[in-house]
Amino acid sequence: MPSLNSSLNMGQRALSMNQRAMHTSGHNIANQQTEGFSRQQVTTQSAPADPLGLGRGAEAQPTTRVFDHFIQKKILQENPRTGVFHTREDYLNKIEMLLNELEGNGLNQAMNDYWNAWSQLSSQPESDAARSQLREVGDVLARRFRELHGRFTELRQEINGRLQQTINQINELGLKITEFNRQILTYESGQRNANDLRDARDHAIEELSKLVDVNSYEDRNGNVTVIIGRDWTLVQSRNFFPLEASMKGGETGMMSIDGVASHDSRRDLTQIFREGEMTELLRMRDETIVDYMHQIDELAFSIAGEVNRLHATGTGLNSAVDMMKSTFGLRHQAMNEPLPFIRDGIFQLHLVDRDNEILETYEVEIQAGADTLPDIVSRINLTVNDPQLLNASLEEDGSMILQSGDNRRFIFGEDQTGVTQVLGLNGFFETLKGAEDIRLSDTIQKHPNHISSGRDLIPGDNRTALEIAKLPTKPIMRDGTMTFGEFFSSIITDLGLKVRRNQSEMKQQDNMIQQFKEIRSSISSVNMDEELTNMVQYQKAYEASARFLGTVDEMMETVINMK
Amino acid sequence: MRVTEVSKREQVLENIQKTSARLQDAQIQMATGQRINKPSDDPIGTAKMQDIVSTMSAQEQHLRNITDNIASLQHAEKEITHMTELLGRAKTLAISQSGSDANEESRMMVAREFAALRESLFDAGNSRNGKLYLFSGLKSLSPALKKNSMIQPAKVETRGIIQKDIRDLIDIDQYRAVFEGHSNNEYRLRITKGGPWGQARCQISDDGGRTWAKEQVLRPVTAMFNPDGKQDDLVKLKFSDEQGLLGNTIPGYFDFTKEVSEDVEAESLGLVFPDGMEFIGRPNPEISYIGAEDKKEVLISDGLASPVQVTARELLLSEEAGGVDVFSMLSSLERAMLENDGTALALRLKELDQALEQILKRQADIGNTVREFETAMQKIESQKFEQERRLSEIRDSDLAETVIEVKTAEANNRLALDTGSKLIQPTLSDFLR
Repeated sequence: MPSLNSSLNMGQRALSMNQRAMHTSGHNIANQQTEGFSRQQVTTQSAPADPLGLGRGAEAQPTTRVFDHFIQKKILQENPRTGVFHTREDYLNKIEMLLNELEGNGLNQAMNDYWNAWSQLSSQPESDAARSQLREVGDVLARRFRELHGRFTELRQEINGRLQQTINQINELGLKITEFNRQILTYESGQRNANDLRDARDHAIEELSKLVDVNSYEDRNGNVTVIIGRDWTLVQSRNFFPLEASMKGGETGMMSIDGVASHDSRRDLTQIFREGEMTELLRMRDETIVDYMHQIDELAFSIAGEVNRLHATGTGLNSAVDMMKSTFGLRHQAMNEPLPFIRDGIFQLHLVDRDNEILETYEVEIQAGADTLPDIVSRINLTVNDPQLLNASLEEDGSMILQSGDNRRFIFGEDQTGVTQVLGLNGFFETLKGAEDIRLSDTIQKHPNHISSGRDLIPGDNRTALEIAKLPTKPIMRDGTMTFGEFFSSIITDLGLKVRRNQSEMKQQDNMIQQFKEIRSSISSVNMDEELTNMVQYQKAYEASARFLGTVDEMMETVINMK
Repeated sequence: MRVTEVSKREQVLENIQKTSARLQDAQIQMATGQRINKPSDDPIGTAKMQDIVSTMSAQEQHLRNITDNIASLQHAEKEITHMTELLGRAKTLAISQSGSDANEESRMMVAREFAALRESLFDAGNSRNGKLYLFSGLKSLSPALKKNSMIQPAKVETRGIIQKDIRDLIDIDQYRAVFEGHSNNEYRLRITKGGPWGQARCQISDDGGRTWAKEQVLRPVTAMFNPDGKQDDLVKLKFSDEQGLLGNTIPGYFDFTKEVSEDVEAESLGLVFPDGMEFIGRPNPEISYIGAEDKKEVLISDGLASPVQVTARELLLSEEAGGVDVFSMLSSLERAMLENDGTALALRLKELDQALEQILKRQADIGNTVREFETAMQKIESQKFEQERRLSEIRDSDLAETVIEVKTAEANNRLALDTGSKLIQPTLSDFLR
């Protein structure tokens, strides 16, 4: 027979259990908007019966959270990809803004104006205005190239800054996770579930998964180990191995990412990340943008090269000179190597008198792949055979100087070899690196009359200008398959398509993530109606338990008052 | 599926987000009037647009090139018309004077007019538009035609001298001579039998040595016509410089205007002409072309350049087969007038026709170029229209469509907000007492 006391105990347990359930509902309702919160529930178990099979009421189990590990894993897997798409979207839009021609003052416009100015000069080779105009638009074109290069560089630096922030975020989250590991271990050592701490830890890992690809697992003690990228252990139970930005190695000004294992052991991790926002930032900085910069460089180089090739062998108004220095100097080591990018053949030097009449034509023979710059210099001197008339020499800085004497001046004639172009003699543009440093040559900047419009100093000759004006209609880029304009258009089209593809992929990814999160929230989130219903239920159960206690109390009263 | 507060909230937010994004897009389209505001709005369309914009910009330049050059083309056309008028006048005059009713007096008068005509033609050949010479080819800043001097030093050729010792010893300067007169032919005088004035004999060729005339006595002044060839120039070989002196070997009393008579003593002349020596006179036309052979070309469509000049050589000094040197032809006519030679005049009339034809051909050329330019101009103007239409088709948004889109997006957005507010508000707590 159960004693009344045991019934009292049972009623008391029921009261406190319902109170606990009510409390948990309150906790759930309070946290209904907390990020990463999983609703908690109190599970009850009927207490084991006494030897006679009489029930002993209910026993409370530890409060648990309603949580699906599988769906959480899915979200952790997909999050990094989402980070990639969103970051890519950000920066592709920025690149798009840089290259946007639709405003009408971009590179394409500058190229059109430039070619038109050549066409104008070929139409009026005698006009000073056409020359000044050409110098202006040439300068604008070069500046547009340099500006574009500058903007791209700024964008890369901006990414650099954001990388630093991302590293800080990762470290913060890593530290948090380590701290949660400690707290959870302590809390759970007393047969309790650290529901809220676990929620917070899961949330921190989820945040981390937006930044980099994450792998995490829990050991028997409830500690999680977090591995980011391919193989960097960020957190292992209570140990935390932070990331650090490093300026050593790689490109100047562009940070790489180091993992710090201990005071004197660190490793370059830049290449180990596969997905996530930070990975895409790195990829954007080191590949995507650099690729666009290279294409713009290629365009600047080709334009400068083609124009210079034709320009070098042309002449302007009274443009013969008695001294000319090559734009490009060779490094000391390169002096003894054959001059690159030249072809077999001859190039002509014309010696002219004060009235611009050609007195003498020298044909200097060049052997590609064999002749070094000093060879070429001595070949010129050998061909001329009179240093008083025309003399070539090498400067300290590795450039070549041509100098004529005896009231003579000189101009260039036909050049089959490309020597003039390679050395930067009588060019229109000067550039070593492409878009970064393209500019008008000093001579053109100072003397627009030196802009080559014709040949052999014939006033009114427009052949050179005409040749250059025809360049934009010739397929030159990409092994002679595209015009300059088409090449630039293809860059823009390619970018536009990339943006669109990314947009659609991002949408898909977002939808997927959205679905996973909905599933998760349908499992773990709080529903007010449900909680309220529970509350009503617990309240009624509490009332009933109280009534049960009251009845037991009356029964005891009855027993005590028995006479 | 369990619906929770969080999923409700997310759903509402997403709906509002989606509809506002659509509304914003529509509003931007509405505000800019453009369907494409950045390349990703329509990548292919963007490339097309860029292509059209570049083409239009190039065509505007082609238009400028055309207007820059069409004026001088028209000017050249006018000058060429003037040339045909001059030649027409020459023809009228020549015909009138070739008949038997013309007399010496009238021919003298007409000869003077011919001289004036030549002068006018020369001026026409050097005519300018602003500072640009119309007919000089690429050398458009310098004149096309130059008058040559009558006097041209003869080149002394000693290679034909058989005895080597004489050839080596000879002092070429002693044999200085000049050709006087204009001609397109190369003249040669060859000593066939050595000796001093009056004894030496020579042969003349007026075609650079292909045919030679009969042998004759060498005189200090020799009229260089080949009696066997055609006689059309008036060129003399004079053994004198402009002061009438030849080295130090000719006595002062020697009268160059007369032929040497037998009574002058050979010894006193000193100079002995060796066998085989030749005197060569390069062609020395009255007027020669000093412009460039290459013509200025101008871009009038993509990559296509059109010549915008004819040269004075093509017009007046043609070297083509059947071409005529108009100036020497007129000189010959003038000389025929002066010499009162009616038959020579009649013979030359055909050449005058050829010359006219030659100029008319160029006039047709330039007329064609002008028409080509005008056609190109019209084409560009009409294409501009078409291209602007295509550009707008690609770039601009359809106003009606955009308005409807904005309205629809607005309505959707409103609806999302409305349902959102209803979805979020009620919970069970509203219904429990």
